[in-house]
Amino acid sequence: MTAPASDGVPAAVLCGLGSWLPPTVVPNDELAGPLGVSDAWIHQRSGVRSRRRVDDGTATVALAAEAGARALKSQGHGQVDAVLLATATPDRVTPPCAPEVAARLGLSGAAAVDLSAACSGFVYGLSLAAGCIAARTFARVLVIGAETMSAVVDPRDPATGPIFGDGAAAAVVRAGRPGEPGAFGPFVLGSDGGGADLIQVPRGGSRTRYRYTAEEPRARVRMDGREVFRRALEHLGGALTRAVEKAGWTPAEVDRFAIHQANARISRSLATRMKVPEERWLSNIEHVGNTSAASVPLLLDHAVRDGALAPGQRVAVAAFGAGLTWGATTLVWPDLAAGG
Amino acid sequence: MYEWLRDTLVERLKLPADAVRPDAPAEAAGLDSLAVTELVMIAQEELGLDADEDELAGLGTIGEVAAYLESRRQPAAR
Repeated sequence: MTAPASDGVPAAVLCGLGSWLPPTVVPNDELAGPLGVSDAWIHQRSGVRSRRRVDDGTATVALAAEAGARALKSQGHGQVDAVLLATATPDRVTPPCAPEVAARLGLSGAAAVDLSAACSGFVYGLSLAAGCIAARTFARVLVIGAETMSAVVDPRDPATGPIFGDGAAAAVVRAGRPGEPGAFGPFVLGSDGGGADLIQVPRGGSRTRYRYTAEEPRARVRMDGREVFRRALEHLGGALTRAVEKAGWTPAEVDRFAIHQANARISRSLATRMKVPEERWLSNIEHVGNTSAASVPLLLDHAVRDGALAPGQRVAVAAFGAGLTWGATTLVWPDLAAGG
Repeated sequence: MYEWLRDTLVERLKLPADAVRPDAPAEAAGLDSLAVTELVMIAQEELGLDADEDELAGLGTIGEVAAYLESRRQPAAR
């Protein structure tokens, strides 16, 4: 392990990255017929052409463990001090998933906890890992975003059914020196509980008790698409702008923007608003849909594999989701080994 | 107003230029619900104009959208 600098506050440095998608591909055509729309209709409104779906019996712990194993392989060894799992779709209301994921990864005894910040969960998880590293509570943290969105999405709802997908991705962050490649810059985090109703799954919480059947609509994601779109533009744009400023950069100096893949039109609009060419905005929504907390690390892992992200590039990362919650940070992309 | 609308739809919302004509049905030109939301935001930011999303979404053609935006720019006659 790399020891933190003995003088000064250690920075959190990205040193491993990996992802896992379930093998079943669900193309738009499979969803479009029952919804009475077309492949083109879905693609124009969301940018999605296909998404992945788990088989019956596979749930978030399994996805998270697969992604976590790949991130550990990418860092070169299997040791971390803590596992933070961001998910909105845990296997059960309680216990949290992270201890079981840690056990599957041979990390029994490591600190392990779930984070609930919906689509912003991975960025929140990175910031908490960075804080624990700065406080020298941990020297290495595995941060995972994993979602089984098919468990809560109603395929008959045209507003949400075609958008979401299942998947998982993970990163390892270690203590290191501020400013070294892979060191995260300042984080910008925020929330607006006044928008709590805009994206929600009511059932399963203490406000909506278990007297409903699995087909009851309150078991499914409800989303006010237009208002969520407007708030996403506002808060993603604001968080990105502040995170880039705190890093001492201008938007024009950022080589790649990696933002939560909620809808292709959000990236397009932000590119115009921030006056940054659309080519600098990483995208994989076409083939994976919106994977909620898994979205940002999945995007980063796919971009590395596709050659769209290279060592030395300045990267701005941001997410927005239910809560409402949002967060952003920056880093200079490090040289990472493939997680397989 | 029509020129501002055409430029906004094509350059900012990336609607196909040949589909944006005054007589084109708005939704067929690509002005779907999210595009309406974004158009209302941009109209507020650039023109200081308060448009109603539901009213705008109920309009038939691009020309009618331009006329509606123009009407929101003018103070109502008293």
